[in-house]
Amino acid sequence: MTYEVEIGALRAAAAAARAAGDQVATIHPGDVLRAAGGAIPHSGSAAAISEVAGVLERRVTDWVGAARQYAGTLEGNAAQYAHDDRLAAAAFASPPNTAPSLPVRPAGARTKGPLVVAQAPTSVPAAPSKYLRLGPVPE
Amino acid sequence: MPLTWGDILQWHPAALDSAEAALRAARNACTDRAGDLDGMATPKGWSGDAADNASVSLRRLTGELRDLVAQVSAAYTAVRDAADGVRGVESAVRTALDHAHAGEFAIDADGTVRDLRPQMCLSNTHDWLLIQQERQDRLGECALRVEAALRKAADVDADLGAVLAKILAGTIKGGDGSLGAAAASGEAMGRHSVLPPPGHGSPAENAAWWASLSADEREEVIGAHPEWIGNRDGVEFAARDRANRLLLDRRRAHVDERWAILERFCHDENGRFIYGNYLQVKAEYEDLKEERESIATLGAILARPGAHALLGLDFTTERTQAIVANGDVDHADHVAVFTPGLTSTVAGMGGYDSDMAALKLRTEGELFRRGEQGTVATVTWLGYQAPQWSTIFTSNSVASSGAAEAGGASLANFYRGINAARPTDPDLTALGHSYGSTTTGYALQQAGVDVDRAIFFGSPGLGTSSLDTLAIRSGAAYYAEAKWDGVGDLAAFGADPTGMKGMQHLQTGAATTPDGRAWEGIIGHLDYLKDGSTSQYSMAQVVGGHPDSAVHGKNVGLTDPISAQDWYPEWLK
Repeated sequence: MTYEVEIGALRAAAAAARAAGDQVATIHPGDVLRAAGGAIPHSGSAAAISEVAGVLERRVTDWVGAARQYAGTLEGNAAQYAHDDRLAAAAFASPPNTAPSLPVRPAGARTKGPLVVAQAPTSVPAAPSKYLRLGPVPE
Repeated sequence: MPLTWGDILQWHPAALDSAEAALRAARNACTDRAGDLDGMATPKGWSGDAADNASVSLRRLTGELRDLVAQVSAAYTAVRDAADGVRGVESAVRTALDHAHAGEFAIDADGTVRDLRPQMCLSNTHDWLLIQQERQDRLGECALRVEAALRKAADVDADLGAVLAKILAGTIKGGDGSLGAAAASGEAMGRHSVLPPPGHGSPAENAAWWASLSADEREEVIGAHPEWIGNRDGVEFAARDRANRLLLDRRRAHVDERWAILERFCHDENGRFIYGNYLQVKAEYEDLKEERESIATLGAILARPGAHALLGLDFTTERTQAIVANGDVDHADHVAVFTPGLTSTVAGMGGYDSDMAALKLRTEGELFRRGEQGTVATVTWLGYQAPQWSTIFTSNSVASSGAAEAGGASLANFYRGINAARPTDPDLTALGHSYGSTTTGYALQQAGVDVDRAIFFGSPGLGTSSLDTLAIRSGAAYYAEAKWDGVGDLAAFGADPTGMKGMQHLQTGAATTPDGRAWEGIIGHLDYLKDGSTSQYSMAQVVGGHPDSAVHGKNVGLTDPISAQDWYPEWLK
């Protein structure tokens, strides 16, 4: 597995997560479910239906948020790896005593600190991955 | 707060149907993301802490989506079944209102049923009491339907509430499998159970229960629980027929399997019969033999042309019991229920069924001649243990009224069930032959049977000596007795019907009706239903609601009671 493929795979995984989040975000079980209580007025479950509608909506929203966060993290990692790759390539290609050029900062990528995969919602800061072998994260 | 009649009048499934559709779409939108979940996986070669954390996040996301799918699926099936249940409530409400309307009752918002019809005054005390009883029964039936609707509504509410509570508590989980598996698991957890029938329910209670089921729930009962309704008086007969045909097929398969096993056990490899082995399984062998013959007869009857229906089937009794109809009992204008007597068996039921088919045709033919379009259904009711010669010295003996009394109770429920299962009562005639007339007599001594007319023939007694004890109107009891029918003179169970005060007598000898048609006379005990006979013609007129057109007259012999003789003064009876 090459470095380029890993970055592509990360981006693909991020895209899949974002697509899943976007798709699930389109569902709104709450509205119709709340209205369903009107089918059985004065029943105990009519009130519970409303409550369930709220809970399901919240769970949908939470999941969508988590999926998007996961996607964002993978995208960030992919961008960071791409950035590192360019830096490393530039370092090897530059003549001696030539000051390195300022790397282009990829959108959404970290420019400081170790690579971290943020977790939703109780993420623990991650240690640098094996990809760091290709070069230090720029300060 | 328990639900009230006023509450459930406002119940309509439309909003639940909309929610069901939306939840199904939501469930599908989630399960359709299965591919994305696979795609969301981190690259295989990726390792290290970031990769580990990404995997943890992914596992959590996947698990939460599975749970969400399961919960949405549970909500979907719960709402779907609730919508179906509300349709059942609507059905129950509608039938209760129909009953109230037809019977001139009012149902208050709290479910109280009030009689709107002014009391009738009749000079005949027997008939007045009968009408009062019928009125009370109808009011009670209407009240039962209100109760059934409320019970159904409470059941729907409880079932839906239980699933919703689980969703709220987060106890519905999607497991570790695919999203499809999570959806299936959630659907199963959201499913409502069908409200089972009332235990030992009366025909009116059973009818009210059946009315409270939606069309889908009824299909589920027929397919998954046919034993619930096969013999349940008050349930519509078309459903009973379908359930009993299923049960008949199942029993046939069971009997054939056991029969093959016993056959192998009772024969050696050369096909020689092993008597010793036979003796070990003799009891089961005899039972299976009786059942095989019964099943074969019923199969043959049901395969006959015409609308046959299997309205009752019972293999749990010593001898198989069955109820077979010619025609549509749910909708026929005129229904006749024939109860045969001594030595009657299901295996030998084919002849009775032919007689009932002929009586149906005769009745319809006579109605047609009058320019009436009335439809007719005839039933052979063998829902009891008719005595056999082999049981002559047992409690089930023909000499004892035990079988007739027990059978009478069941038969009374069958009559009640006919009226309860239908929105409008048919014109109902009870027919009883021989010991079956005794059974019929006992059935008619019970309240609430709502039988319009009864014809007894070749009767050893009706289990009573007075027609006043029968729950039929004055002048609605008919008796036919042929010459040389010794059974008709036994008077073994109450007075000889030939001499009973108030009995109407049907001619059994040859006769010519005013339209010039000649009818054949019969003699002996067995030919009352013979096609083309005077007695069959008269029965057709009575069953068709035109008893005045029957050929009246009695064949009193020396063995008949003195009070039955033509010369005996009426005032001494």
